Amino acid sequence: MKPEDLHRDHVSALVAGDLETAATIRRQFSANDRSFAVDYLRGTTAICLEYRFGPGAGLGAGPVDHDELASFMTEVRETTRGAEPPPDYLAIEAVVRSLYGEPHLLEPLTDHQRSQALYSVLLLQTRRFPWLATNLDHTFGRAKLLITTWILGRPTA
Amino acid sequence: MPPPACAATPPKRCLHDKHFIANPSFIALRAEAMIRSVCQEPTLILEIPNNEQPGYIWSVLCELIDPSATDAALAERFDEAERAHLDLIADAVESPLLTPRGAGRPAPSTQPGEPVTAEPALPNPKETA
Repeated sequence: MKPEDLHRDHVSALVAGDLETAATIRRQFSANDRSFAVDYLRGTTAICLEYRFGPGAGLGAGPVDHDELASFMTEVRETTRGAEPPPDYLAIEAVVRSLYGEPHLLEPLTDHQRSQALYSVLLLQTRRFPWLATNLDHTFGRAKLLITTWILGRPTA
Repeated sequence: MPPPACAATPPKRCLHDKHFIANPSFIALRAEAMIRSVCQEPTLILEIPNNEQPGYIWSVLCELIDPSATDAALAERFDEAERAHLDLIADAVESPLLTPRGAGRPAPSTQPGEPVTAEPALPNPKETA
């Protein structure tokens, strides 16, 4: 199994809401995998966010449309009302805006905070646009291109 | 009043660059939330932990206040803030959300034949039909 497959299975399990499987996969992670898992989640979330905030997420698009972001945050608050522990709404806003031209907002957050916020966003987007969840291979293909660009500075190796 | 996005422009990058290197627990988005909470989004104040609020207030004030301001000018600003605070409390006390139900309204008529309706001016559709 390639390391990429591990991350792909991890995010698929998260999208499907199968937290048990995701935890099992995380136990196989090495130290490098743990930090890369956040990047993989971030890439997938960026692709899903493009359906809401426009193309180019993570590739220099921005700034984000503040009215759209406000309505997005209202939706997040409605879907997570009464959740325990309460989600960190500022972290959620930070991960969205970090993909649209304000990457410094991500710097103060730990990996754990980042992945929690990214997961909330990913879950909301895949519920709102169900074809993202049913065609995960397409999403992963584009996310792979995006992450390659982040690492190498160009789309393909 | 400027839109929150404009009001929050200063802390976008400069506050982060200024404070984050010296103090990695500084979160620029919280400073922005502090500004937006007094402009149009009061719920954002709940996102900042209580014990950290004064720190973010000071970091925002340091950006906004001219360092060469005299004591008299500052005292005037403090008086302004005091008045705004009193207005805010007066508004809150008179807010219909806080008044207990029925306390602010005139007492309903107790005469037996008179209907007790909130909008007596509106015709009843059943009667007209």
